Amino acid sequence: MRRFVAVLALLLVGGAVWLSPPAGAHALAQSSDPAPGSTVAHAPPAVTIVFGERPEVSLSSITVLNASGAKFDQGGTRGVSGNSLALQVSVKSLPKGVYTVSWRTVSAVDSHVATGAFAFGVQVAPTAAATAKVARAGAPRPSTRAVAGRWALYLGLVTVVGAAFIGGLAFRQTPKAVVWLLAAGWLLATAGTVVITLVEHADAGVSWSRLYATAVGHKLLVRQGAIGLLTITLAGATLLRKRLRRPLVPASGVAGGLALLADVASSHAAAGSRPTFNQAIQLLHVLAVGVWIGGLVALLVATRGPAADDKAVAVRRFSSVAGVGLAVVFATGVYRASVEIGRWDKVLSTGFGQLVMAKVAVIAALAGLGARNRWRHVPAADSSLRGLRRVGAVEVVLGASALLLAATLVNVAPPASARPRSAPTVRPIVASGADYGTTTRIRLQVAPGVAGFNRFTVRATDYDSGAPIRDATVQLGFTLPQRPDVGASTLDLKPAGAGIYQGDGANLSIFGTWRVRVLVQQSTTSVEVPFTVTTRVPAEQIDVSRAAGAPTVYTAHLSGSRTVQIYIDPGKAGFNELHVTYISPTQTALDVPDVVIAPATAGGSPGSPYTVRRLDVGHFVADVTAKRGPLRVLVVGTTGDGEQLPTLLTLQIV
Amino acid sequence: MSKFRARLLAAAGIAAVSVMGMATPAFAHEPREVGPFHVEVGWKNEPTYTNVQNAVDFFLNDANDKPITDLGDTLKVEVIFGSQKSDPMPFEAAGDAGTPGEYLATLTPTRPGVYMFHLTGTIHGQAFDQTFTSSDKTFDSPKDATEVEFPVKDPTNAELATKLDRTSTRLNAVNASAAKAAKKAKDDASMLAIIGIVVGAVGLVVGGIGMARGRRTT
Repeated sequence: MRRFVAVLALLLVGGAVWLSPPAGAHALAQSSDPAPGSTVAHAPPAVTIVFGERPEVSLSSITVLNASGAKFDQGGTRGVSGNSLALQVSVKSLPKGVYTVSWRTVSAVDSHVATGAFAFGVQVAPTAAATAKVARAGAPRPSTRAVAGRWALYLGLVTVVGAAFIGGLAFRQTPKAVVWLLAAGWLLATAGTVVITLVEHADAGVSWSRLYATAVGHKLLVRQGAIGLLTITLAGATLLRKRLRRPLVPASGVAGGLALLADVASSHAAAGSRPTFNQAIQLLHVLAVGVWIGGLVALLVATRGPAADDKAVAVRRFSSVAGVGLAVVFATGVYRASVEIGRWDKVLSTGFGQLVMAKVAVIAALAGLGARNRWRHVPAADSSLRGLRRVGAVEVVLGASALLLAATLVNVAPPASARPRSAPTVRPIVASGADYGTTTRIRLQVAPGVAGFNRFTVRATDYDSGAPIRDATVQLGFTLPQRPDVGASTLDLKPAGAGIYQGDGANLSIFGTWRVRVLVQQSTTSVEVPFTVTTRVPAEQIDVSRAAGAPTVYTAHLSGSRTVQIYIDPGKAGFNELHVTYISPTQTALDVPDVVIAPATAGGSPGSPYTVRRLDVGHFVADVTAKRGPLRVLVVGTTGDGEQLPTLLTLQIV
Repeated sequence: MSKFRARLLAAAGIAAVSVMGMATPAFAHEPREVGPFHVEVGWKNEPTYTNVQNAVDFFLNDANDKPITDLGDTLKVEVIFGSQKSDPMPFEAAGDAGTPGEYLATLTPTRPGVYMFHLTGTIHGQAFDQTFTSSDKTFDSPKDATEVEFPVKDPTNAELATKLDRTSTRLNAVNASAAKAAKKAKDDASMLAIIGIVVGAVGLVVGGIGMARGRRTT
């Protein structure tokens, strides 16, 4: 029997290690600006990456390198105001070329490390080879130390919870062996905590003091505090007299439960949506495991020797509670797995899903063995405990294997978080119109609608029937009335479906309000439908400076290391003055002869401009009557050589 | 032609004439070396707007870039738009309206879009067969004149005609639908009347039978 149990344990441990997939890690990049593989017409002032989990800012970094490896990021990686999932780094003025963005994050939620890289081009498209060469994201296979640390922690805490239940509730008098089992559990949990601490310190790659100043360090402190509390209660339970010892045994179980809660707060359950609910379910899951598996270990230890009445009572009490524990473990486990895996096709196609299935198989085997005990050996507990012990020993080995699988799962990215979320959708500019003769309806879509490269999609349908217009030649004509020096251009679109025509081009070459003519030419006739398209303002880095008693100053970083400072005074509902000051790279006033300031919609479309006065070189003020709440304004300065400097920002009116 | 339609077309005509006056001649032509000749083809007036009188503009020089002024009527041009092709049109020397070696074939483009000029015939006995297509890089594709109209952007004759046709079609469809509905209502009313008469007759018969039975029992 012992040999069978040993072989089974070896097989299960080996299987868990073999199944262990590489960790996709958790704070994985979901989107970025510039986007991976994209080409931008103008050098961005900063690179921003949005991750799937909140990265610990002080332990994470973004690096921008050119093709020859020269570093172009400056000023260090910082968080983004209003988006805790994003990191940003300023970049020097980027000349034309291809750039590689490398990132490394430490998740503030589960402390795991993730790395990745991608390429983008300024005025030149990154080649497929360059993109493929650097496009990577993930993390190494979870380290043996990390998995071993968690396993030890789980084994220890489950034992503590189970022993506290058996010692405090199943027996009238706490057996001495259960107290020693509590001590053994504490020892394992402490060792596990030490290993986890060392692993996280190594992953962070910073000093201890710096680590403990971060959210990752704070979670470590909570974890260590819970183990400290367990140490105190257990010391009492071990050292005090029998009468005083009795209440400290369940107290140790509570301390063990708190330590499990600290671990849950650093697990996958703390990430994603509905974290509080998911953490509650996860805690219920691990506590039920503690009562069921840990309780079984304690029961086997406490019922050694010949059968006796008090042992039979304890066995029956445990059997009743273990049934409930199994049901809770199963229900909460299925729920948590469904949340983390997310899709059926990921159950067998991902390492995480395979580990979950292995765990389900082990739990099912445990349930079968538990049923055998419940209906065969528990009724015979008054006369013999031999069968219960034999089956129970196998159950304990399977339970330890299930915990090893759980320890591995914690170090692997679940498919739900590893799956890149769809990039924040930038709604394209969409306009609809028809020709004067009312023969054709046109829907023009410009994506992303910024100055530079865009995808133009035209849907042409019959005005009355709505039938798609096929086999037409569709051409777009572009003019910028406010800038006659910018030449007119055309773009031929290609068929891309029934009545759909599509093409890519940089015809909207600069910011402004463009006149776009859509020509739909068929075999015998043609129509022309005019549209007006105002390009969106590209995302800019905006620094916010708040000082008591002074207006909040917003500094937008423009191309060419130029900036514009904007503030609204007094910033209260009613009449306000909106000040705009352009500043050159040498920190002197930038001569911007003309500025248009207007309220803007969420999409950036301008409304009626405000009245603007020029106060000084590059300094303008607009009279703004505002309501309480957010005020979105579009500020477009025009330099002496006709370059337009658009800025879109949201001010808070109180 | 109805009075309303005539007025609309007249208004459009005035707009077209005013646009013609505003149009500034430009010189976007496609040059080619064809055998011993250097030719250039484009529109006489560019930017080119629809419904404004224009002409296919053809410059003919010899290999030494000396204008050839004695082309005669041996060369013709077909203007192609989509699947439509104009009759071959002869070139006439521009004379005082142009420069030596310049020939014109008068044409008013009526639809915006891509036009092709297919020149066929002979020049000084040498066969000539070339097609020139409007584009950004060659010569203008005519566009609607509305963008240069001021103060009111009037529709073109073609647009008005198209709109009238479309509107007429829709009105006819509405009328047909209304007539159909009226006929259906009339048929329904007739059917109801017949049903009413039948029900009334049945009532009379039933009443008569009832009265007859009542007398018999008394």
